[in-house]
Amino acid sequence: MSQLRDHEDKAFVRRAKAVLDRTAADLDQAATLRLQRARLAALSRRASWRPRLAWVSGLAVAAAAVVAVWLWGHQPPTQHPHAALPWEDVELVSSLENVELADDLDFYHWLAGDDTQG
Amino acid sequence: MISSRRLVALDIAHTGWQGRVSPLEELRALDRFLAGVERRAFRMAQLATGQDDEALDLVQEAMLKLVERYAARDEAEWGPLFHRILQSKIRDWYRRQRVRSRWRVWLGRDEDGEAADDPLEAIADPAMPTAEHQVTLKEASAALDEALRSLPLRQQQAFLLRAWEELDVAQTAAAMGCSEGSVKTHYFRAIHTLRKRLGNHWP
Repeated sequence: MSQLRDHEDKAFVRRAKAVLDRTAADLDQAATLRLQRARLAALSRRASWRPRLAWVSGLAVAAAAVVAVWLWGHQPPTQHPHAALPWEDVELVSSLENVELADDLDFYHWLAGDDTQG
Repeated sequence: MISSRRLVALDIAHTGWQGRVSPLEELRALDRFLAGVERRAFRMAQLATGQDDEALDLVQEAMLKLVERYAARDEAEWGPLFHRILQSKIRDWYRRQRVRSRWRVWLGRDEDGEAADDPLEAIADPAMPTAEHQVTLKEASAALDEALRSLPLRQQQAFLLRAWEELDVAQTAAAMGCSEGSVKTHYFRAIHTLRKRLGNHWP
């Protein structure tokens, strides 16, 4: 029973394929021409693509990366050890807790002096 | 358009391609592949969308994407890749249509009226042969088209890719973006629905 159904299914698929093939072959001229134009437009895009352009852009990116790494590695030493952390400075200044600390600045100066002297 | 002079120039300009496919050979292979698949691709998109212009746009977009992104791939991979792109574009088209139809319903518009009343639709194509077997074929084709269009999209895709394009289950699953088990289910249902619908009308 199952074999018969499989056989009928296969026969049906063969007939459907033949009909579909025929309809594809009998496409009207307008559709055929538009398909040809679409194909040629796609191929033209490939033809205008140059592998060496990809190489050039790849080399340019690599060169830029090398220069960036070199510049980063050869930065002159900064005078202030915390110059690269401006946001920490901002946070120190803007924090409410640190405003209170600033009020007692005289005390901390005295404390620091006391430490170094005693 | 590509002129033959440009193709020759491409071939001459790239003489260091020993062991690999030259740009000219690659273009020729792409041309052969696309020429071989374009009509069936158009019919698939036409069956899915029901509109020639939309179908042609989808096929063109699929061609462009294949050429731009996958031309360097092995030639044997182009078929499954092309169908994957095309089927993905058809699914996107379906989603857009669903959204549009929801908006049309919400706005209370019916945009199909104009097309249905177009008198040009009733004029016969004089280029069509009038032999009796052609009439039979046309009837068979119309019945099959109608039955295919009435299938859910996934069943239609599974049937066309498996039965017509002769992709295997794995390739069809890749093209449809689903599991191999789903492909088998959709294909099985498609065949039995089509056989039931066509019944005695099938030649």
